[in-house]
Amino acid sequence: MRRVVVTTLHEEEAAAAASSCTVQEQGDGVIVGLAAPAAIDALRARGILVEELPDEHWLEAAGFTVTGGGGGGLESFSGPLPPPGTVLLACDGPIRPVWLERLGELGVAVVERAAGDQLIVRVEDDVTMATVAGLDWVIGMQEMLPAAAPEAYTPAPLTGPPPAADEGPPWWDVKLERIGDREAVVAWAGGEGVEVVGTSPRRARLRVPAEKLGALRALGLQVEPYVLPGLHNDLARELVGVAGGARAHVGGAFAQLTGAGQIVGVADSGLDDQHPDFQGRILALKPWGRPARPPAKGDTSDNHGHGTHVAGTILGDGSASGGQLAGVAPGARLFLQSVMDAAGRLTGLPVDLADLFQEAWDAGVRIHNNSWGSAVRGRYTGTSEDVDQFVAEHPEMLVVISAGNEGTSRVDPATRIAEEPGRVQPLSLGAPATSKNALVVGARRSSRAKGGWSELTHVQAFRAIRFPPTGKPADVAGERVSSDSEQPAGFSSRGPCLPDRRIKPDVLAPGTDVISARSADAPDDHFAEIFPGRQYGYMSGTSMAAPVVSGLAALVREYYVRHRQVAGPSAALLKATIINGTQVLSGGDAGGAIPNAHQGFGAVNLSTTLPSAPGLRLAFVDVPRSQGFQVVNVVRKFTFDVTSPGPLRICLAFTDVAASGLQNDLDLIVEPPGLPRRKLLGNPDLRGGMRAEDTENNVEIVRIADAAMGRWTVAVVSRNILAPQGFALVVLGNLTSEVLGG
Amino acid sequence: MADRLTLNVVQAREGDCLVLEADVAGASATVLVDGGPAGVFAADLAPVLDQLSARGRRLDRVVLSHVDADHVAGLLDLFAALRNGPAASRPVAIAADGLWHNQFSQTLDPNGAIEPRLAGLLAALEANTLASPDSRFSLDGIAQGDRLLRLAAQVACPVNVDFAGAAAQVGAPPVNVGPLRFTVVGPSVTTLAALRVEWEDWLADREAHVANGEPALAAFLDKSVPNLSSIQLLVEAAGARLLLTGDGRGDHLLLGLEEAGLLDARGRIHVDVFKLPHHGSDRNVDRALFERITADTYVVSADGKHGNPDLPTLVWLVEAAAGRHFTLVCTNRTPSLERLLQAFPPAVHGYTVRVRAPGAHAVEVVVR
Repeated sequence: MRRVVVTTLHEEEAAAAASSCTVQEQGDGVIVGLAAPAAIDALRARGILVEELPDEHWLEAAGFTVTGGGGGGLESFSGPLPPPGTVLLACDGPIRPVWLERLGELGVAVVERAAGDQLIVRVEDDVTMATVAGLDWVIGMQEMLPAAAPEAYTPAPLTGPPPAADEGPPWWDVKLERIGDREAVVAWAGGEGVEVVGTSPRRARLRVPAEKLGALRALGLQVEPYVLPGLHNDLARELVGVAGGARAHVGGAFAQLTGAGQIVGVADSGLDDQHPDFQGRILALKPWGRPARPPAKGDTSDNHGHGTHVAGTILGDGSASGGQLAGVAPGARLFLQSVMDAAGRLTGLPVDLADLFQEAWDAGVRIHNNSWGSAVRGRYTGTSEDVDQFVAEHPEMLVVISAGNEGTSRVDPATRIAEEPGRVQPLSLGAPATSKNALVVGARRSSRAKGGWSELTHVQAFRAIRFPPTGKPADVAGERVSSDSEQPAGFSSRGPCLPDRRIKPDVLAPGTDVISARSADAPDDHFAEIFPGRQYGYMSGTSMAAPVVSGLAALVREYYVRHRQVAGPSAALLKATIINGTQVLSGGDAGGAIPNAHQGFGAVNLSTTLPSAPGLRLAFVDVPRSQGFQVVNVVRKFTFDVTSPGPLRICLAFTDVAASGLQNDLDLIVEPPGLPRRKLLGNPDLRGGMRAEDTENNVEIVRIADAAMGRWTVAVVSRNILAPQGFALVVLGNLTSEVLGG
Repeated sequence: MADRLTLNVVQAREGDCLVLEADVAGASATVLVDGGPAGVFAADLAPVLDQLSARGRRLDRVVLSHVDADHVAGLLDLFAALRNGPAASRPVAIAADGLWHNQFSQTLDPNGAIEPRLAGLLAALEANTLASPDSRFSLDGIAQGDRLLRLAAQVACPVNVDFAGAAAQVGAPPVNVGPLRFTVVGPSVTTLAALRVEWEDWLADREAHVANGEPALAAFLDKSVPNLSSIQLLVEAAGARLLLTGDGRGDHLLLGLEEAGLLDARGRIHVDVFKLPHHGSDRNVDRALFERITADTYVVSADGKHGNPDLPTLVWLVEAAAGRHFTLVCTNRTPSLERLLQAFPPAVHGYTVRVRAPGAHAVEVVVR
């Protein structure tokens, strides 16, 4: 007998499952139980989804002490129990709230959930450890060694205007977990003469000389280096390929979209508020980096050029170019937070990013652009957690973040995942780009053949240390910075995230040789080229790609608010809509089928995001947490009818609880019309780990090139629920209705 | 037209910026060596280039002696202006037909081993501050060199074609640019090898400090290695010779001259113009150097920053001349110059001092 999770979409499927299994737990459309191999095959032959749970062999191979569990039929107890401390528990199927309650009664702290029905917990003593081992739903345990915090990161050497030098000791973040931690850290710092940059309820930021690091670690708190973020463009610059005159087909006619009614937040170097392209649409300018010191006023000017360029791409109206060089959402308004200090460093970013987001939220910002980050090679850091936490608490706030410019074709001998030499290598994401709930944007090459850096090859523009020529025919080193728009930009940071290999970036947008507004206060050499007339300049970077997506998000949000009567579309809905509309890049460096670590879910494209032709309809549900999944093992079914063959796009996205891996796990199941029944799973081209379903990502897609006519069923299943969970589901295709059947 | 050979020493403040102009026997050439620090381009170099372009001249070559801010910044501005054309903040109408620049990877790091170590070391020292390790010390220079190369590529200005794409170093066949004949007298292969060893030792030492948790001891990075790998040139035209020396060291210069076969039997050379290395710093020269390398005109490009030119340098110069008449050309009147004039009055010691006129963009040395 095998332990299985059977998911059913119809009554007769449920009946078949119930008669084939020894039911251990009955969910709503989901059965967890025991089944014979022949019965499993029979169920699958009827198109029923059966997933097998791990057995003792799998557990042992994965390093667990097998504790057997209750009625699971596993051999029990294969070795010594872990010592008190942080322990990884393998659970007997999707995690149930009663289990968490039981752990609470035992005094066991749950740190977070890990992928594959596992929990990370803290067990204080041997007696409790034995009690936990005896729980009938605990099937395996292993000690979790604390992940060694890196001493420092070694970012790939970049080019472009050098960031401002920083004098003084390295920056470290200390995680504050218990009452009294903050006071203890501040007292320690005071005694040692260590500078406290600031504290938030969750962390303290210090500048710790290396010789005092040992003493800091001896406090027993979790520490990690804080990499002072840099702007994500210092690289290159070109024209945003999103034409003015964006529109969507609404109710039998085309509606123009300009981002009207939307306020976009931008945390960046500053703004040239005299630039003609922003006049009348600047809601506020907030001086975080150069705050007011009375009688002196705060300074939000832009003597770097980055913030003005980014803002221009989002919502510049092209006034200085007769409309030619308008941004993506020229009707939107700007809330700009200048986070650059007088020395050119991004020290204006607060210790807890929530402070930054909250100010914007209070001003009505629902889309927030962050074209900056720290080079941390794919790690989930405190800033990533800040973003996830804020969005979890403010589900309507879409945070857009640039992936980073650390892409390199230099093979790191230390990494186990690598691409062919000559191709851009994985694992170069910045932070907070590793956050789950943000919409993270990498750069694709623009199609520009002249101007900026477009005619340079990667080795000319970024040197051999980043793109070592290999002599192979397919070698990014010899490819141009721009021109082949089927390729990601060479410098665009690649996923996946560590340690769970979660997919990021989410999407790509044009990010090489982007032409946008030029700050009159910025030096010429911050631009790859100055556009004639000096009102615009070329820049490149994922910094330039993120604002394309922020602008697009403003158009999509306007569409929902004005044309679909959604008062407060969730970030998950905007994210699902934009990801649902992507185009798959075909270049040799684009990673193949989506999603992947190079192009994420593909390149944004307005024409396939919103209905662009009569007949195409967009149907969606945007389910808030209060009406979402409250418990595990529940199927929520939706139906729609396809009227004529054609492309069909379906995307599920949800805003998860903050922590590095997925805490709640929802899965997407699609059933095409007709018999025999069959099921398609979300992210079918991602197959890793033990289960066929995606257990790492909070975005899942299904794409059908030529969808059959008839009634389709879409199901969202709760596979793990630690806290109530909302979600957004978007369907775009030749549908009879804009409304999903229940 | 009569032969004419001039060296315009541009007001480059603490840096170097030199314009060579030759019209000899119907052939002409114009070469810019270094661009001075930030600000020099707009204030002084661009006006000089305007005068050149007004006379129909173009820059046949642009030479970057080495990547240090007080030599490269003005060239970055120049190439950005060439790139941006009329849209530049300070447009210039001149063209540049070739660039000489020795990449770090060609001279000091041919195996690519040093740069990642340097990056790693810097990351260990200040990781938490950097989105890229471009910011300081020599890597800053490497990044500036990269930007110059990228700009040169953007304006399709070929780099080191006169050296078949390789580094300009001692042993390269002399290069003729119009009537100007250039012989590379630095850096030499020998010097570079020694510098490489020196730098690797230095890196190992610093890495050990970092490993031992003594970052303070590792936090000093010497810029001298890139300085010492400066391109140094002997320029000949119309029977005159000029020695342009970047920020190199005197002993290396003598070694290069010797390897190039330019020293006489007594190990000496006399030139018409000798641009003192490293703005007259006394760490790069000694009295003996001025006995072995003699000139009719000595050029000092400095403004007193870092004490340059150092008084000992000027004193050695005067003492070594021992009454032989020479001209000392300075871009700025510095405290050390004032003290020299007091301690060694030109009238007594038989030399002439010329200082750039206040407000002038350059001081002109007419060689022929």
